[in-house]
Amino acid sequence: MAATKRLTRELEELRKSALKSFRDIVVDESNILNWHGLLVPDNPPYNKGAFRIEIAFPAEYPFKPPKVTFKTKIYHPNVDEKGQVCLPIISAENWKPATKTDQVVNSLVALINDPEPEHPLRADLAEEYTKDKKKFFKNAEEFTKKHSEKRPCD
Amino acid sequence: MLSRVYSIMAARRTQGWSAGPDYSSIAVNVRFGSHQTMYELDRAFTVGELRQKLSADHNIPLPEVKVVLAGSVLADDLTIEESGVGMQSMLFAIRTKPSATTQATRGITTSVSDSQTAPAAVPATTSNTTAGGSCEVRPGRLRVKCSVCGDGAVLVERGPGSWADVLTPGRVTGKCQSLHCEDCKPVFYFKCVEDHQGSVDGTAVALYHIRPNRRCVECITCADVLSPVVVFPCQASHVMCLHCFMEYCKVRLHERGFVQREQYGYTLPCPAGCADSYIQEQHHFCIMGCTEYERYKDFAAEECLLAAGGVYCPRSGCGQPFMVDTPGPRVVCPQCHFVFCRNCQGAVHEGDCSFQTRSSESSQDFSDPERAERAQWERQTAQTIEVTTKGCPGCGTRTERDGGCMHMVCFRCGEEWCWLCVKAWDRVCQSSHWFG
Repeated sequence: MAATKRLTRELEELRKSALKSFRDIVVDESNILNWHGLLVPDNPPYNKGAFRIEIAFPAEYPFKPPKVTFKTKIYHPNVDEKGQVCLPIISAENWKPATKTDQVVNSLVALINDPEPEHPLRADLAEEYTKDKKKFFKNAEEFTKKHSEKRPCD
Repeated sequence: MLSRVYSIMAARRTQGWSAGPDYSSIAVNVRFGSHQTMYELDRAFTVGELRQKLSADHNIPLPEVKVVLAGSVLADDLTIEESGVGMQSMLFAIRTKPSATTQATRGITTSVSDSQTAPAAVPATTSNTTAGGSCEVRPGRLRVKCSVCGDGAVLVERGPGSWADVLTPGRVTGKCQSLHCEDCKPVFYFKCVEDHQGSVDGTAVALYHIRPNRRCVECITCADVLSPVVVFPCQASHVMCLHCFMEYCKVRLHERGFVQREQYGYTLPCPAGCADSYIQEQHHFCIMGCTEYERYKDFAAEECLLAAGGVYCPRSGCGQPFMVDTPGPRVVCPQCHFVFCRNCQGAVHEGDCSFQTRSSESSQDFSDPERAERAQWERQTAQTIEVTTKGCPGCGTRTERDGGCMHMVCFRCGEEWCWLCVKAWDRVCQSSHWFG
């Protein structure tokens, strides 16, 4: 199966590259199609915590894109209450089988660090972000402190 | 799966050559003028020894006999095994004038340069093997024939140096050895390594996007380094192993992701999305296997018909394809005479399509219990389609949503639409309809 071979290799490379912004990658040995990891953004207000995400690969991977879901609650205009996120790089129309998971993760980290209020999933947060950034930052920081995971020490 | 085909074949051969007595000799047909003789030759038998045999059999002085394969005179010290002839292959014997000096070569591929554009030493061909009825990619043997008489006793001036030399008649010049042929050109073609009983002329389609991976390039999908591989005709020459190519084709076929291109037909581009990267020869899609290839051909025919303004009869059990030459939405099927609306594919109606039910029951005959039962099934199918799918607001294609967000992109017409509103995707949908 193309998916298993490719994901085994990607996982190995991703663990070797030791990204600071994406770590603690956990993959169930019986199902390599399901990954969990810790997203560690650098920009405020998200730099006060870390966020668990799930990456679900379809059996047809890499010919069909993976799906990314936040397992930790996040106050962000581009992530909805269920943790679903719309990332252009993994949309059906943009997806390229040559795209690697590290690119997907980097694209996700970039979106979290710099929200795109012009393509919101939560219109209320996008409006707050655009109109009253100070308030948005305060709310997001409080939300992060309350709900997010502890950041790794190093 | 395909790489396994290669390895199984290789294993069988190796075994045969080393131990199996059945494989120690090779049956070769040698044609000299109008005479054709079959020789059972040991694999270690040399071309020089064969020439001596031919000289004696046809009573010609030895220096005047030459043995030709694929446009080249074979060197004396070459063994039959090294020459590249297969079981039941045809060798050509020619008689040259004593003064003529003809340079002999050590096989048919020695003059092919090792550039990526050169044909493979073992080019891939596709052949429809009868055993198991599956399409398989097999190595091919390069052969040459005369453009006029079709005979293989042709001498070429040089071996082909690129795929263009092979595929374009006349690029490589040469001379047919038949006395009657004039103004002829050598024509290169491929034969499958397998012996196909019943094949008309033994010609196999050359899959020129499939090449040996001499530069050890990683597969763009699985990153394995395998050979042979598919090389896409994009500027970056992206490489894909045969297994991934097969998966890529199947996945895209199932989601109707192939595209219709005037020059190349129903095809796929490089998966990296490069410009001008379409597979240019449709037989490459045989790699999916016969069942999928048949499906591919059906889809291709459908796309071609629809692009040309034709329609399919929507009545279940009919499906007749035909061209429509009448204006307006009312269409009559020439096969079953079902009258339907071209826009919504339902039974013909007055007024707006959206208020019509998608049904063709009126034209069905329920007196036959078997047909009545089938009609019941078909009605249930239609109901399931009605419940589980929505029509694309751009082209009406019934679309199923199997997860993900509400932002739909039609594979048929490219329309971006909202699953909730069933209309073009807009700012309101963008901010509040992504996930329902």
